[in-house]
Amino acid sequence: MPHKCLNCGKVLDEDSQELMEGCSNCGQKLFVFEEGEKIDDEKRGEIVKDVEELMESLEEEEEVKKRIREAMEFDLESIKVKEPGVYEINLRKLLEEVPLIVEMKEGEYYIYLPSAFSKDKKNIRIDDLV
Amino acid sequence: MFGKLKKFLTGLFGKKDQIKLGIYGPPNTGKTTLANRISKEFTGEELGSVSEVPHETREVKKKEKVSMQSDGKEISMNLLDMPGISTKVDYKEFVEHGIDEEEAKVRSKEATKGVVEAIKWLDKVDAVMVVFDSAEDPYTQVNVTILGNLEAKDIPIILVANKIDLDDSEPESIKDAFPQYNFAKISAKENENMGELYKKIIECV
Repeated sequence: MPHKCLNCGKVLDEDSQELMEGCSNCGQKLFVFEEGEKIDDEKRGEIVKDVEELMESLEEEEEVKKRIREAMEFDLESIKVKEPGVYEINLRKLLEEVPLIVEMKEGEYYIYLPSAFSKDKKNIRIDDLV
Repeated sequence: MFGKLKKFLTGLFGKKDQIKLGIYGPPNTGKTTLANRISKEFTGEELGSVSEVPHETREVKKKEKVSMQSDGKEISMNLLDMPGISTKVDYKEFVEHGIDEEEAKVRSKEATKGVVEAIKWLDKVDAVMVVFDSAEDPYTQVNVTILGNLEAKDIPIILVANKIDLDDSEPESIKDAFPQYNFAKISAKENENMGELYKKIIECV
């Protein structure tokens, strides 16, 4: 368990020579146990690396989402999302009951297949489907 | 088999199935004004809010058990006011009407969902009124597509040339464009010629 100098608050490793010789910062020899794990430079480096990797993976995911969205928009035949809030609707395709694809939020698509629903389900609303 | 049984039981207990009458058409042709007019006349209550901003109706509004009588014949129906059908929904159009951009985008998405919902309902309605703005060109992709589809599904159609109170209205151009269908020219807002439409509805359904 690491120690903390009672005078200046410097945190020392549990096997630090300073515990015997006095704090290198202020010279005091009174120390208290420091609860919790001390983050040394190596550990800090590891954490930073983890976070950076996580950030990279998120960026990659965004990139993938963007690519998927673009591809979907090209292939979408019932509803095209030109930009947020601007939609082009292909009525003919909608009426032909092709699978309906709607982008609900960025990178998230809902596909409605008419064949998947029996005629008995009379109360299906679009809100249930998309 | 189940259908036959249901029909038999319905006949036995005298309970009539409600006829589902859908009100279709592009945005801002006065569908909700018409729905309110009919609903108010036969039930005393209105159905939905009306606005000059397009796509005010973004989900199907239903009024059940609307009973209509004419020439000794009575029908009971569910009136369905549909969201306006269009081929493009752009939030900027709503912004032009003074709606905040974020709200306009939400409205745009809801309107798009409304178009899809209205089209899904085409499979469930028994008869349809297609409402036109008499001052607008009737030959649009939306109108032709809806009418063609209804005809293919063998659903009875009544063309309603609305807004005949407008100075530049040309209801006859609608009749000329699609002469094969039942036709009524009205002003739902000014309560003009509604009797003619009610007769057409009873004849048709």
